[in-house]
Amino acid sequence: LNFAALLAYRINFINSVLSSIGWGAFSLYSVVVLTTRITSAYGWSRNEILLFNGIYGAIMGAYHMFISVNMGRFSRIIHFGDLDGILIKPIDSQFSVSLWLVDFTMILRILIATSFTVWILSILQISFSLSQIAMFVAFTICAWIVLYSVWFLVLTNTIWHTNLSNLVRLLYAFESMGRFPKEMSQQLGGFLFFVVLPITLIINTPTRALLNKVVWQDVAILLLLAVALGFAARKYWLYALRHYASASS
Amino acid sequence: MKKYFLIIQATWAEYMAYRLSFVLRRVRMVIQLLATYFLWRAIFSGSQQLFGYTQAAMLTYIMLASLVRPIVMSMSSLDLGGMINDGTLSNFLVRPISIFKFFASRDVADKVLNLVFAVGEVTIVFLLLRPPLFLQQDGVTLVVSFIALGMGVVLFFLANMIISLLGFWTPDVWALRFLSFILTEFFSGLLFPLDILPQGLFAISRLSPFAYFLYFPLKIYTGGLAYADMFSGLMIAALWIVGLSFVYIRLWRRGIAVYQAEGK
Repeated sequence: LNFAALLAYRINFINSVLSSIGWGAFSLYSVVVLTTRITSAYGWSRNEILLFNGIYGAIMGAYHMFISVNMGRFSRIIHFGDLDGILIKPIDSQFSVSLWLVDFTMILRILIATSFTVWILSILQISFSLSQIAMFVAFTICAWIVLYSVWFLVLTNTIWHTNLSNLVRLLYAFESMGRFPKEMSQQLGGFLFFVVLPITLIINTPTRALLNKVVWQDVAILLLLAVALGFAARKYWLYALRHYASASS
Repeated sequence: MKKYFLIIQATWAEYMAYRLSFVLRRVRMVIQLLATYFLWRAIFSGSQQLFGYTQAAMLTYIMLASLVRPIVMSMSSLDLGGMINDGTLSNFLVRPISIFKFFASRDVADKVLNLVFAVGEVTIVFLLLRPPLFLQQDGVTLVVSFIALGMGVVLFFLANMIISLLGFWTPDVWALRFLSFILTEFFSGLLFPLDILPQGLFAISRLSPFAYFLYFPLKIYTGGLAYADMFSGLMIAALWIVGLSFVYIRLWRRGIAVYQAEGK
């Protein structure tokens, strides 16, 4: 159904495909251009920084494909009372609002980012052990849980403040902090670093697993965040539903 | 003119009614500024001069880009596409106001408010981080950079209005807008000065309107252009303004002819 909806308006479909390719390509090319004259920064080589960006593109592309496309309509379904229709269906409401839509155009962005990642890995000449790949997959799943939970916790507030449609754009802005090594975000210092820490760990931890530079303290924080935030997001949603006023009904 | 001043006042009142939304937008801007700032600090960590820019000139460019962005790239005309699609435009067509001036007024209101906040935010960031900055002292260069900035504002507004007008022919202008957003992000010089791109790409970008949104005025300010280059740049920007104005007028006339007030 999602794919049929995407194809329903051909011009929009072509535009979406071009946008997806453009975003994927330009965001990677920007970093390639910016790092042409440096060999290292914050203790990471240029190619390692590029690897961060490639993995960022793939992980975030998948996240946008399945999750953020749904988060974008979050305030709208609450503001117009469409949540009523979801609540009466025999399906978990959190699952339904989180995974109703799939943005298939993101596949192209993921492909571009994955190809870029493979290319950088070949330059870095890294050979992986099975445990490294297993850690990468496990940390990526934890990263998605953390990211989803942060977004969901923030957006659940639209139950009370239905007109906060730009909350999603704020979350997108934070997301860009994750595409560089943690050491860069540490420059923010104190409170601000604490705020962006979960976003920073999302890309850093799986990437470090591939580079065989795992920091176990970061892994512990990521796992803890995944469990705690996942639990908090669920509880907060159930609590918020008790205050849902069914705006337009 | 009085009615357009009232639109400006109404837009401010609207923003103040949704204060939290406005604050969130400003927070987003600060985050983007910090991310770009630290990225450039990392790039310059080992050297004083890169891509033909000193660290002071580059950080000045980045800080100014954040300051000037909300002035040039305000998005109030975004609503026009939606108004065409849901038929709300009909309410405006029966009123004695020009839709172009209506959105221009909203744009002015948006820019003034954003400028006030952006000055405050950039000042706070400057006081906290104390980056080395470059101050342009040549009067002529300053005047020309302000003229170029004014042209950038007009160009961006026209480009945005044109994209919105495509709502007459397509039920959703979002995808088109996103495509233009990507091109703007990359080719306007928001993330970096365009002259650090490979020569071929830089030459193409100089001929596009995007380069005149931010890169051109900021490049003039940071002192990187000779008077002859400033003049040729102003001429290209002026040509784009004339061209886009022509396209806007044609699209509006044709669009109104096919408008069906769907949904209302």
